[in-house]
Amino acid sequence: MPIDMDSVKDQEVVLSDNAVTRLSRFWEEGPLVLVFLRHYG
Amino acid sequence: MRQNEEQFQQQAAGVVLVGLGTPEETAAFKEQFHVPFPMIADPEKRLFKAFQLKQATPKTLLSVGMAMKGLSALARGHRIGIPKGDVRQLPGVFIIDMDGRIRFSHFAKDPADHPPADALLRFLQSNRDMIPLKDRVDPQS
Repeated sequence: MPIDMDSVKDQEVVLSDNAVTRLSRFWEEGPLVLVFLRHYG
Repeated sequence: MRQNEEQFQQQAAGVVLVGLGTPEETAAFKEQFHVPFPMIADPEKRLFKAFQLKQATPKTLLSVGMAMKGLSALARGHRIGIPKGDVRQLPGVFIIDMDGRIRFSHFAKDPADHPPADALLRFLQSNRDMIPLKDRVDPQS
């Protein structure tokens, strides 16, 4: 099943400083490299 | 990737990291490793699930290959700490264009499987239609 970008783009995300934003904000000005990390430690 | 911050900027590309910790744990990670990019805290794995990133099997986590990668990381000076977040969650990388389309995807096969920054930069350089016109630099100039 393909990734549903229509629902992903409006997903609210919490940043490390507790700010909340929409994920799509990050590709409004240019391409985005979105890196999912493994666990910390 | 942090060493390549300038090269990603030259490609007019933003880099955002998604971590499995709480905002507080993510902020501590960002500070400890001097991460220059924004970081999203995703302890409930909402984004991990939305991007269909899988979980490693116990067989993968305990394989000889993973042990070798761990030893190799230690030899390169990486430290081992107490894991925070789901140790089975596999990482991944996506490049998304300004229309919100995924143009590159990498689904890790094990927790240490990630594409090198050079490969991501090469992909951006060879897909220049993704770069806003105002930021395109003529390679001849």
